Amino acid sequence: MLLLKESQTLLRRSIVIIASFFAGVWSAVYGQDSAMVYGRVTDSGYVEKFNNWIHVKAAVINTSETFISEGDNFKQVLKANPSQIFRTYVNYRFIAFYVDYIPHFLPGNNDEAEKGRSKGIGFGTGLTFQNWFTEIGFSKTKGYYLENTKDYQPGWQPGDPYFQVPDFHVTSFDGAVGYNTNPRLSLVATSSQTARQIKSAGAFIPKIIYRYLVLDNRSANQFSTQKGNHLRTLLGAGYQHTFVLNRSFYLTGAFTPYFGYIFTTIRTRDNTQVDKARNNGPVYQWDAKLGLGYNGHRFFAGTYLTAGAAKFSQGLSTATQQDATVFFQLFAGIRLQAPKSIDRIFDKF
Amino acid sequence: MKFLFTISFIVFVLPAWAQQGDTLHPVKKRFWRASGELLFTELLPWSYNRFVRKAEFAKVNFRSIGENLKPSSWEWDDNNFKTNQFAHPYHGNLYYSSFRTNGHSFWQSVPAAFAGSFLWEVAGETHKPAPNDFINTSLGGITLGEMTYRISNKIVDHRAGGVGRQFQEVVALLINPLNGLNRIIDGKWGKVHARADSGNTLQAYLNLGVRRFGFRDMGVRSKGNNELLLRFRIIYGDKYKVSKIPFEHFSAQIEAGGGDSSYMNNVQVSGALKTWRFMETPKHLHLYSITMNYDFIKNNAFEYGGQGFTFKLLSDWSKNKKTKFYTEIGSGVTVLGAVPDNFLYYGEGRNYDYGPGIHVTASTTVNFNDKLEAELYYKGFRFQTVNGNKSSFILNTLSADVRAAVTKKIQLTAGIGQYTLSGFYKDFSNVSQIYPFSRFSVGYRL
Repeated sequence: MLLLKESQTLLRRSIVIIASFFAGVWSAVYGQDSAMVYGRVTDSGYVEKFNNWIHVKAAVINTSETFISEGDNFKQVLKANPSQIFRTYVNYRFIAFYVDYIPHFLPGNNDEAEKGRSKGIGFGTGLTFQNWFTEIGFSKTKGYYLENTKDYQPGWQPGDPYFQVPDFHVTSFDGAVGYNTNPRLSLVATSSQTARQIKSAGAFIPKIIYRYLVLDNRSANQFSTQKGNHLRTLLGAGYQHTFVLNRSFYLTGAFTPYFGYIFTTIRTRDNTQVDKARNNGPVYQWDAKLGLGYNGHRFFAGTYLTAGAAKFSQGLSTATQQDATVFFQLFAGIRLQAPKSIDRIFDKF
Repeated sequence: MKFLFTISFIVFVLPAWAQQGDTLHPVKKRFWRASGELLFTELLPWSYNRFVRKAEFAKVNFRSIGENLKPSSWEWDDNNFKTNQFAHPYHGNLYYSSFRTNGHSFWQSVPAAFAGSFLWEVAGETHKPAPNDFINTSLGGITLGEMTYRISNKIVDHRAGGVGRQFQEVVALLINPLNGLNRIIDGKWGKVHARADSGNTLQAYLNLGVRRFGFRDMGVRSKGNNELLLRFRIIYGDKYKVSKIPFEHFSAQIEAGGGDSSYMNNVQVSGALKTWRFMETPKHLHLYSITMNYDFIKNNAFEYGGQGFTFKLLSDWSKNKKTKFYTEIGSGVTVLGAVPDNFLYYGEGRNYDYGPGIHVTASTTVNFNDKLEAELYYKGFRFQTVNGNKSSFILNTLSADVRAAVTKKIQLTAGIGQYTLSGFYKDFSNVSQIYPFSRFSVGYRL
């Protein structure tokens, strides 16, 4: 219910933002040759590739990764403040690049009295070939609040300030390497839009993912603080299917379960010493995506709901840790003709 | 002319028959005999319970049957692990075999396992019908039934006679009693033919050695004790052969051990329902395969049981080379898994939770000219409990085995690995446990 309400608010705001984006670029491209050749259909007839175009995409994401620590007598749910993140993509052929930033001017992102102020940045890149693909991402976020403040302050009411941890730093470096077993399914058609799916197709996609996550509470006014370094490696085998509703509209869905191991080092600091503890154990993770999109020759747009979660025990203890994301993405983009010099360089590959 | 006809017959017709049911001697379909045998496999244990054990639960009547027919009567039972995860699937194997050994194909015999299971749940006992019994008996019965049917057929060499042949017939009867029974009824027992029964190969290894199971959790750290190990490893058919016929390939490992564990403490079967080509190059072969799996693991340290289906990508990266390199990766669903619960014990010995799950599996095998083989295997499960304490589980299996051929018949085998279990409970403390194991054995190829 809460997610639905947030999504509706986000939808209204995002329409305004994306309309502004389009108004800006429309004047730059309007009037170009309408008879221009945009894409080239592959031999299979399933995919149309837009090789000579640079794809610029703007997205609004209501992402906020939640970190949950839970034991016999405690539960902490930490979230960052931003309700919305801006993500800008620049994609060309098999290469994709994005940058995230927090737009503090948006109404949902400036309730600092209640949830504190979060700062952060993120960027990532990916290479997607006919079968193989790889992607890496980096993000750094500072400033979290305790979403279950009520568990610790019984008198807390909605609207009251949450317990804030402004010096809680989260640094994440993650990546994936995978193999698309069906070249008739274009992964880029639904991710970077450098191609278009013409006929429906699905694929079994095995992949290895890894993540190095540092959760560091640097609060100066606490008796002791902790820093956790987590390295997890997981193996996943999932399925993605894109249904082409007509030539330009599609519906896509994917689900991948992952299993693997996590290696953790926890440093507990107080005024006099640092205690270090190491443990490792199994971790389970899943991610899923459901999206509806328009992929025309000049413009593309869509909305995706993406969810994922990971859960693991802290070594052999009774404590567990989870991180979970559910985010709604609204995006729109445009294809701009690539300079001939770039095309020539990439044509050589 | 007669010679040419015979050769043509063997080359063209017999393989086609073999495709129908993995036998060069197709059996005539006998529906009524199959139905009679299905009823017999219901009545035999019921009669034992009713007249020998004089068990209260065997005193079925129309009232108890009417009660059990109500959908609201179904409830999860409290039987111990071995009863639910091995005895019931074994019983289902008989239901399935009643049709399979009477000329029906795999898919034609599948309803018999479900029907037999349903009939027992409703009319075999006064106990309320249990969904876990129905699923375990049906799915486990199909997997074990098809495996035992094919092994029993393969063991009997129709070209052999004498004492050796009688021994084969007896062993085959023990493996699949209904197949043996029908061989007797049909006059096939001991009858000598000029040709083998099936085009598929069966490799069986008998290993004898020692093993050790340890245990680690937050408070306990045990290295375990050395135990005697007896292990059968069975590989039937060619995994890398395209086939629409179920169980043209299957692999199984059956383990018995000493110590304080139960004698039969590991039965794991994986049979291919369908295998088809994904990609083939002069150097590589990649196939998709859907497998049906049965797992029963019970030893003094750990227990797990379940039945499920896996979608896999099989890759042979070294076609036409002496050094072979194979990989597998897949994911699937576990229809019903039985996972140990530290905080549950009631009834006959119900100490495990039931729930469906999903899993991911992967393996890598390197084989150096059939002299040395190394295998790395991984399987991870995630379960959500539907019956038992409110909980969910992550279960991982990781193992590494090395097999060295001393002679063509004798192998030395060593392996290490671990099970890890993380249990997340709503009303109890979470648990995180590791069960490391190691094994060393000498194997003989049968």
